Amino acid sequence: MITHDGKMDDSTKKTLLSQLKALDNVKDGDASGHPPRLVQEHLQHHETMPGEIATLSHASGGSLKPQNSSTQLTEAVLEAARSTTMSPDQKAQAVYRHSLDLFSGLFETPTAEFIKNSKKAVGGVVDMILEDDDTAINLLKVTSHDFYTYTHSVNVGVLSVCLAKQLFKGKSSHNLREFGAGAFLHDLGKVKVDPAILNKPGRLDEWEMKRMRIHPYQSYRILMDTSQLSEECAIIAMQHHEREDGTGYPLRLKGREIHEYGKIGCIADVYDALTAKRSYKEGMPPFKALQIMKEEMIHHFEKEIFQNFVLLFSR
Amino acid sequence: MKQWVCDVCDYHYDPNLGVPDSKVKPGTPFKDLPKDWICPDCGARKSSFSLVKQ
Repeated sequence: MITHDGKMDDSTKKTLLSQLKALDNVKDGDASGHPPRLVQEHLQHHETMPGEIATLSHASGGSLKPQNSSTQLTEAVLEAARSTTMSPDQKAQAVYRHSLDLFSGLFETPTAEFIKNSKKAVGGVVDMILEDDDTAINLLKVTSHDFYTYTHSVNVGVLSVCLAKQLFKGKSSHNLREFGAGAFLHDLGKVKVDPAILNKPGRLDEWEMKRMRIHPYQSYRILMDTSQLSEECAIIAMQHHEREDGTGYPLRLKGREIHEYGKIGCIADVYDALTAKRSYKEGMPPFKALQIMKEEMIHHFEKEIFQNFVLLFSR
Repeated sequence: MKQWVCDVCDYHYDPNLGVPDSKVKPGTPFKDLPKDWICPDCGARKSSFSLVKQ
């Protein structure tokens, strides 16, 4: 079982790890590829994002300061990330809270200046995750499951960087600050979606869902046009809805055609969507989300990357 | 002129309009768009477009 603070007991850990070993024996094509209805609902609601994007208030996780400049909000994140006096738990909470404030402001005012400052803040958070294992572990546990675009952005950012840290252990060929910026900013393109769709307080119809699918490419365009990121890192924005089996969008890429950054973003994105609570549904507990991803959606992900993702929750 | 629609995001390509603020001028039939042309809204390839039945 998973305790309320996200830890697994040893017996659950053992069960999950042995189930993961069985993944090596899963042949391509022997699952339907279609997640069951409950999962589809979780994902559809994520992809459609009804209602909450225009809402500025949010529950646990922080105070909203829309009147602060992006510079002030950035400095708050950096100060927390560099703190040497707070405990890992306090530091994680402070970094998370200030990151939410910053990203909330960013989605309200997605100017080049705000994006630049957000990138700077993300750099500080990435450094902290790489250098401070204790705080990084705590950061994975303090993520709020209230589903707003900015909360989701910060969560996917944190999850992606933690996963990348594990996958690329020490390899200097990866610029994780750049990668992290791409991960945190992966959904920025949602500002280009018709507000009537984004703000709709209910399930979206088929046409509205299709219109939401512009956001990966629009995120990529914003990041490239404002020269904020290398193309390699803006790729995570472009590809986070591509699927290993070619059923994703917008390019219906498959397997090796998808950059590993896109594959990381995909897993983090789906996990956060499944665990997010909405006004009309509870979020799945972490273990349940991982189980669903493994048993019903595994063909959407690269297995080795997914196995490493699961290991993040075994600490 | 024939209209085409993006299967991914429902963007409609109207040849009479082309794509404003791009190199695609009004009057450009879909078949004359470059092979590497992508949907201006979602980035999907030409192969993801379908003919709109009149």
